[in-house]
Amino acid sequence: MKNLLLLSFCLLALFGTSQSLYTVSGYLTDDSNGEYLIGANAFEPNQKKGTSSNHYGFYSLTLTGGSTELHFSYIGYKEQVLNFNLTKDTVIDISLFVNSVVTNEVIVTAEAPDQNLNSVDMGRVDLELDLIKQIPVLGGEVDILKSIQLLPGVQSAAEGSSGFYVRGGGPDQNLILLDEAVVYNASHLLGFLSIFNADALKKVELIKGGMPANYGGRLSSVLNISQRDGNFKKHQQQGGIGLIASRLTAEGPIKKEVGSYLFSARRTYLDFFLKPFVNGSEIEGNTYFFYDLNLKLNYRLSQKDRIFVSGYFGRDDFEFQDPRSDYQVRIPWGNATASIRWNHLFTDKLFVNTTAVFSDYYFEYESSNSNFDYQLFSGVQDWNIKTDFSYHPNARNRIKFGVNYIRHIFVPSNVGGRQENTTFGSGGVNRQHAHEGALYALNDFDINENLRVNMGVRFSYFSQIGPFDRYTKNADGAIEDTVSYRQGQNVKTYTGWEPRFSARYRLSQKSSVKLGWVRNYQYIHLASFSALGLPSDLWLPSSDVIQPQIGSQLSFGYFHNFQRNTYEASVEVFYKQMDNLIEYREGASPNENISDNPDNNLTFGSGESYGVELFIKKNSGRLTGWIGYTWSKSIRFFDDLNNGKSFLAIYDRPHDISIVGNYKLNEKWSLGAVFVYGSGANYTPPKSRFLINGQLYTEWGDRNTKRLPAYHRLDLAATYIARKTERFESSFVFSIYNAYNRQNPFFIYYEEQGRISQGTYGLQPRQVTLFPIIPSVTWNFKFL
Amino acid sequence: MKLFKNIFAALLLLGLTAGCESDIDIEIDDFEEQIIVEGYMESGQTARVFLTRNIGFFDPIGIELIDDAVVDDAIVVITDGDLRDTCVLVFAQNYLPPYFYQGESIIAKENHRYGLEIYVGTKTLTATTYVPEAIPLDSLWWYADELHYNEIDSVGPIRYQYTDPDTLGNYYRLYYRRLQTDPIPYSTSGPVRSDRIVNGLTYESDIYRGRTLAERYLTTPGEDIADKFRFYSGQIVEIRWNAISRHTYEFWQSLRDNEAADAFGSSQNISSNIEGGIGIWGGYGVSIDTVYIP
Repeated sequence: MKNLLLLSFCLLALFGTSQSLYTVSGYLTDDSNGEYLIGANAFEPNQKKGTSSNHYGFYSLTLTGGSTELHFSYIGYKEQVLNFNLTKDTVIDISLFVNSVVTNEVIVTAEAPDQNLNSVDMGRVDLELDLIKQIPVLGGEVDILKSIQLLPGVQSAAEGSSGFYVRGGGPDQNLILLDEAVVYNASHLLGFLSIFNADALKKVELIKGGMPANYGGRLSSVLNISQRDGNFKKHQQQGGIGLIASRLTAEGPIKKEVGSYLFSARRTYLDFFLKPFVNGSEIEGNTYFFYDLNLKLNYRLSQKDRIFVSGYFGRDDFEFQDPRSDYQVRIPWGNATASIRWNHLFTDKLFVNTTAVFSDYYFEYESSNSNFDYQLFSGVQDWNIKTDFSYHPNARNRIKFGVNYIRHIFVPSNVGGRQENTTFGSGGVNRQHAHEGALYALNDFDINENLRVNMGVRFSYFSQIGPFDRYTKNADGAIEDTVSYRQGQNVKTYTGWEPRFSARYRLSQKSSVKLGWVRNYQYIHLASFSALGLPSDLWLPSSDVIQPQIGSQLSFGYFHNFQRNTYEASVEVFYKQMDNLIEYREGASPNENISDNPDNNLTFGSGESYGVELFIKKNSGRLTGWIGYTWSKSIRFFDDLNNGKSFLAIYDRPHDISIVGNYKLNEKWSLGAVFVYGSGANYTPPKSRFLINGQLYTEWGDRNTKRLPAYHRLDLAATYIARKTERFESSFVFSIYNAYNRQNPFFIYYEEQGRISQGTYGLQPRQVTLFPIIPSVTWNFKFL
Repeated sequence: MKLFKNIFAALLLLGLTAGCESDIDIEIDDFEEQIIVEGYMESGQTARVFLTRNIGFFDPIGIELIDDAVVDDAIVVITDGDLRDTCVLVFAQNYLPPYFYQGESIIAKENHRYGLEIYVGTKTLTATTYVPEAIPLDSLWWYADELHYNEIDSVGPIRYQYTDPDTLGNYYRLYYRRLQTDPIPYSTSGPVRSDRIVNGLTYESDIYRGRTLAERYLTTPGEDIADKFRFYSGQIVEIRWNAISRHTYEFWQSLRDNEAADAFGSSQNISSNIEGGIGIWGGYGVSIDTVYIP
């Protein structure tokens, strides 16, 4: 039914016109280094037709022949206008020039891009890397995930954590893509930093609502991160030395204008830096480090074919060696992704990209001494292939369709060890295998000048297959039965239809309204014991026990730009319904997962969230930045938790305010500031205490019914450009995190004080603040 | 989970800068009165049931408050399917609280189910439990792993060898009692064990002793324990390797997770098998071994 409707709309749009039409197409690049520009605009004002370049910089626009005036623009770049006579299908490649630094006046040469009014994507935010690089973050590091947490509708898990929640959904509901490879755990150091090295990145795009049909697999958002291609014209190196970590990036042409490479590395030296402080202290013997490596290669095989190879490899490693014995612990974890992409132009209207991806995430815990050793391993591995077509038959229709297949291998927990001469282990039976696939088609089309619709449908499929053992337990909890599935045998299959709809109605030059409704299925889930997003969280597939999560979101927004698009403002309202959410059962602990199916320890429920987001952004001029405010509520309903009563989700935060500003003082100095304010995190209050076996224990109250004090913080940064020549640039970034030293509670605990013998034995609640005021300096350099 | 907490706590300290701590005021709501049951049905013995009431979370505690918390006006009945045994309140100075209801006639037997009924005022509480069969340890011995610790020549744990039955789902509760010094058995360190990892295997492991009541409440925090929670020459140590059911295991495990909500977990109420109250009515298949340390 949905298919017929979609098809008829497509046909209607396709046969709309009958004059002689020709297609202008080509690639839009940055003139200084040849990087492909994503989402740059090509617009013909007389015919009122336009399009934007795809993720590979390719655009295609079908216009009526004759005298043509094409405007090419992109935020941060100078607009170019081309006047010519269009008489046949033409290839026009354009390279745009970066807007020079504004010194004294606000210069707006022409209409700045009004992408936010024009695009039909609901809840989509594009973050410019240049802006992100100016946002001061902990310890002077620039961080993508930290920056997106400053947008309305996006909240961070906790102080320092880079896990994020979008519109009341959990941290596993965000599809994080790095050059099309899925990243399972995007955090270093418990989430204080993300794994993304900003020097290697080109574009960051976040879709919070109205996810179009070409994306799927997660309920709440898509965070699409594209790595830079590397300078096509000359070899360059850049890097920085900071308080926590240092980075180095090298890039350049493989063959001038034809192919390029980019290689980026980052490592922390917390382990060396803190060693003198740690030795002799309580935590002597602890060490920790992380590193990231990014690689990108691309090559233009011909006019019609390009190949891209991307890779990411990162590790975190925590080690502890007891100085007084031979006891040691090692906890490594990390992601590795590799993707190969092939762009092919069938015609100037039909572009296809085929990607093969390998993605691996693992977490390991090892401990040993002379008598025993113990290893726990958990991870996910994906083998993925997908093809995406984009077809622009005429200026009014932008059709996309494609297919996606992923082979998953999950190892929720694999335990082994040795005690003296006895070895034990849970064997390989803990693996879970699955197929995941999707087919989609969408058309992003103009019904008329003012009304644009993106309608699509995604059909998704998930199947858990053997080899697999399902344990069932009797009333006393002993395992009484095991159902075994052979290799390739179907354990459980799920399918889903995911209609996606969004529409934009242009009210005037300055404003538009948008409406979106989407339905999503999510087949893989994150089971976690805490809200922080620890590496010990388990990724689990849907199975005979876990059903896919299903989400529906309705959103509506009003968008208005001021002063020729210098200011963008919007109000968005959303409502989200989620089913088949998972949580651990009350009383479950990580040890239960060994020798049992982890999903036997879960309980299921549903949730809803709703809210309002206000947003104002200033895009150009000496002062740039934004203010965002979100009011929202996120509720959960689980029969087995909180005595069946509904409770607020751990990420419910009624008020969330972010103010981000950047001010270019002069040629040498620019200043940045970030102010955030959020309602305090909720927690479960204690109710009473009681005595068991001579010790006191706590009776806890209803889940998440109390709030910690509000969280607020001011960060300041100043960037000083020390040297800027044709060959070399260097700058210093001075930053202060938590400038007025607000003692934000990271968590509270209850400290035992007093003595029973004196009748004073009691509990004092105490709060722990993670980060007080932290100043830092980073030195950045660039060899051009 | 404890392990993760320790590690991540260390990470935090190590990671960036020293965190700051301060006192905070929090408001809590009034609580309902609950009857807390700590019931033991140990093979070869009559029942032993401790009954207390819960107390305010921030109430400062002393001996008087504990005394007041004891429920001394309850009717406690044990049933084995045929007989009914009404318990008698006895004073036992070495326990905390120092009162419990003692069974008179029904002696717990392995592989049997026993019911518990408690009547306090208008409240009725019930529970059932199962006493599993005890499987003794293969052997135990003492060895020294620390020489010249404080004033003691050598201290060390008690090591045991055990063969776990082939069926998955065996759980144990461990106690120790130094015959010359301890009036009652105390929990060992890591007193709750399961066969998740060692099912069907013959293996060896160590037992370190846990805190005595006096050590928990009368020593000052940070005070060094003379024997480093180990045993030494001259002591006669009784080790109890009690078999428990899954529910009893879950109860003792849940006590460990019952700590303040922090970044690392959500606060869990203890796992209880008492209808109408909180606590445990547990069956224990008792197996006792005695080690004479030369």
